[in-house]
Amino acid sequence: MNEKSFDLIEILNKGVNEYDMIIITDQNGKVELYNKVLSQLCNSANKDEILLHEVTIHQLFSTEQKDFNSIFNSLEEKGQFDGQLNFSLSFNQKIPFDVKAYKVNGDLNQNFRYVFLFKLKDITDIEIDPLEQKAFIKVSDTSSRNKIDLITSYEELERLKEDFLSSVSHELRTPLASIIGFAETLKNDPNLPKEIYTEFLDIILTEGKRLAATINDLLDVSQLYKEKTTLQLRNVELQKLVTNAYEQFKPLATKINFGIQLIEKPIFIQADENKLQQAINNLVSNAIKFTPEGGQVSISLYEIENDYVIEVSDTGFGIPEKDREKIFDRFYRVERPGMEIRGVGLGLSITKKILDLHGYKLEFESEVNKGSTFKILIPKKL
Amino acid sequence: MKKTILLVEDEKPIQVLITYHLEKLNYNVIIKETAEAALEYLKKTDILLEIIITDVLLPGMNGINFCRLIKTDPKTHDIPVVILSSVDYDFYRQGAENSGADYFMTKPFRVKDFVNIIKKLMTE
Repeated sequence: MNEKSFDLIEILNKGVNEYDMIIITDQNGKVELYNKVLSQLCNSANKDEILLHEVTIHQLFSTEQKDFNSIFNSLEEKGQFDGQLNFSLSFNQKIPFDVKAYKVNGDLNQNFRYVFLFKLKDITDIEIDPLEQKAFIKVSDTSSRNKIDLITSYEELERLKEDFLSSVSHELRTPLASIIGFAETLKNDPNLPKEIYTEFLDIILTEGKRLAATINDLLDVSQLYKEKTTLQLRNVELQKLVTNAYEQFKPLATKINFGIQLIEKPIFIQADENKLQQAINNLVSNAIKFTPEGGQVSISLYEIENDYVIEVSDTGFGIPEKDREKIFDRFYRVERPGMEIRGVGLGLSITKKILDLHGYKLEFESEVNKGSTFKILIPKKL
Repeated sequence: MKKTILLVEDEKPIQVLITYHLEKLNYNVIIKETAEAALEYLKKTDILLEIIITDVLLPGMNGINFCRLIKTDPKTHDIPVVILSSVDYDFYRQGAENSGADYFMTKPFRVKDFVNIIKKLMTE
């Protein structure tokens, strides 16, 4: 699979500096965001801007849907497209643009799939207002279809990116603050009572592990997504992986009921042992993290007709419906008001990617305040 | 009587670290894990607070907006506020400054510097 895609902010930077009109669409070509030059063109064509609400990009240009499909195919395959399009909403004339389009990564907004940058051809007498060129309008999602959110400037998009970097920064700097702070304290107060000394050392150790886990996640995700990852396939016993996960997390699950059920006969499969272990561990770690005191988490291994199933279920907070489509996205975190859940939002995306690489399926069911069940389906015959 | 400092911080290890050093300076420390809980506490308490220390990234309201509320309430606007941030971007610094915060410190910080700021605020 070709993973060629571009950084949205980089492309927009190029767009606002070198191009006239900018349109961002979702994977079906539905307009998601545009700069006000498009509004200007609509106004000059006596068209209400509100029509841009449910419009796909091909409706704005005198180009057949099938031709746009080939543009999208080219974007999917090569990550970019170079060509010419004629804006056709105008009554009297078709306005010719040189176009460069890019497939962008969905780190900021999963609906932003393709960015189209338009340069007006010299032959027209249309003048672009530079202020309009730098002002963006975001088409609302389906939950608030009746209004258009105004993104007042390109800087606001920059800020969105900073928000995402903030959570990474927080997850790196916070444990580091504890490690440095307590190490400095131990150094300066050599006569600390033994129990306080031990408590501080334990914090340094725990926060060091937390930092290492975040760094590992960041490195793993960049490797899994950006390089051609190869799996180190070998004969692996599934019981062993599931038991390992149970043993590893048992000491952490002191305030919940934590159980394991295994099929009796040994099951051997061809898999990358370390990566598959990581995928299972991530599911168990999440289940424990999101289950309140007194709740239950269980891991089980069983078989159905065509698959072996590793199931991790919990009686935790559950995943709200609005978040379900996005939980496997990189850096996506389910917000829980009034509750801080650590992490940068990479565990599930790493798990999903590892299972995809193996050709395994990941299914889940969830109900808010009842719990979640994740199932890894491993085909008996691949 | 010991003087009191309010600490708004949701990270347990940072709570322990700061409390340890403030208690060494002979302060009493009240800990709240969210800005909302801190505001509720401020509404009800009669204790005169010497300093408020707040993290920025908190569950719910962030520390900068919390500081803005402290600094616009006549009951609390004289209390010095120290903002501790795990993010060091200009717009956080700017936001902290605009909110009326007295100090902006980024994590990780040197304990020595933190203690000096507290001592300095107490002598001002």
